[in-house]
Amino acid sequence: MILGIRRPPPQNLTEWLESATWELVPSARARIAEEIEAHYVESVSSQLARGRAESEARAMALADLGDVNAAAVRFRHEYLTNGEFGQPNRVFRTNPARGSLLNLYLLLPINADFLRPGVREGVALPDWRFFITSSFALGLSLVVIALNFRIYTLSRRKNSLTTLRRMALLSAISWLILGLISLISMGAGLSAVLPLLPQLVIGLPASACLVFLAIGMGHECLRVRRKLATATPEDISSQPPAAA
Amino acid sequence: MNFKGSLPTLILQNLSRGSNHGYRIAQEIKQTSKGVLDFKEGTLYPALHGLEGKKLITSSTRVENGRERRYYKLTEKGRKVLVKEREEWQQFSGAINGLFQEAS
Repeated sequence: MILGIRRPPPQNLTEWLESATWELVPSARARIAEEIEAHYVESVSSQLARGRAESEARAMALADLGDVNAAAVRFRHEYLTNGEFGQPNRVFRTNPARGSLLNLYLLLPINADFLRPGVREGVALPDWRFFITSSFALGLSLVVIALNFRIYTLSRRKNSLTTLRRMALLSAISWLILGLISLISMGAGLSAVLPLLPQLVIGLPASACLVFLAIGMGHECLRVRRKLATATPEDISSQPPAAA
Repeated sequence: MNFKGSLPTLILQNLSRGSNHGYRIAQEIKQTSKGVLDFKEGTLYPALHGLEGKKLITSSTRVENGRERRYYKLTEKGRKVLVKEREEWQQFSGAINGLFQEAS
């Protein structure tokens, strides 16, 4: 089963390879095909040497390769797909800097209370520790925005594997920092902005969602970065140009 | 019998005896275990490529009978991992044997 699609059992080696390497980048397809073909030829020769008819020998060699869907899943774990290849380039369009702005919605009122005490009379000031942690989170938000500006400048460069790996690493770092900021703003928010209903209703669920999103995206960027190590420069030229 | 997750260790053990290619690795594992350790050969290559990605083995191509074959070789890092995994396996199997002997 590949992306929820269970393909029919392959009838020959070409079909087996087509299914096993579906959507993988060209260098991965070429390498897998080279090895599996050599393996298959040797397996058929071995069956023929045991006195089997050619059609039977081919069928047995194909059966020995096993479930093509299981092999495809394992190959996709090791190699980049065409979709993943463009991922670092798409990072800026779904960048964590926007998530940081959501956190500012929750964090700024806490700091504003300290900076302008007594403006909103009747609202208790949060503990000074929340001022420090929220200031720390605001500082980290600026780091995320700076990292994303760097990713943006990298994305304007001519694609190379080094650039793509760097973009994937920077985006992983910025997503994970965003996860940390969201955790802080959740913690600070819970204790500090209870009287401020809009922040409580919108800010806290948004921060909770951002924690999960940021950790997931950070993990995904690291996974793509690891798989980029298996790609070759020729894979870049085989990709369609990134949308503006 | 398919021992889930044991294929990478079996590959490292096979390569500790010298460089080898995919087909021969598969056949030797099956023959040495007298057919007890069986696996589908299509899953051998993702495991080999995964070990290569972790730098536990390296690969190079050689021309054999007019055809290119990819040979795999154990690295120093792979050798260390194999020694550790062998120790863990011996410890584990020793514990299970001890339990069975006690029961019989």
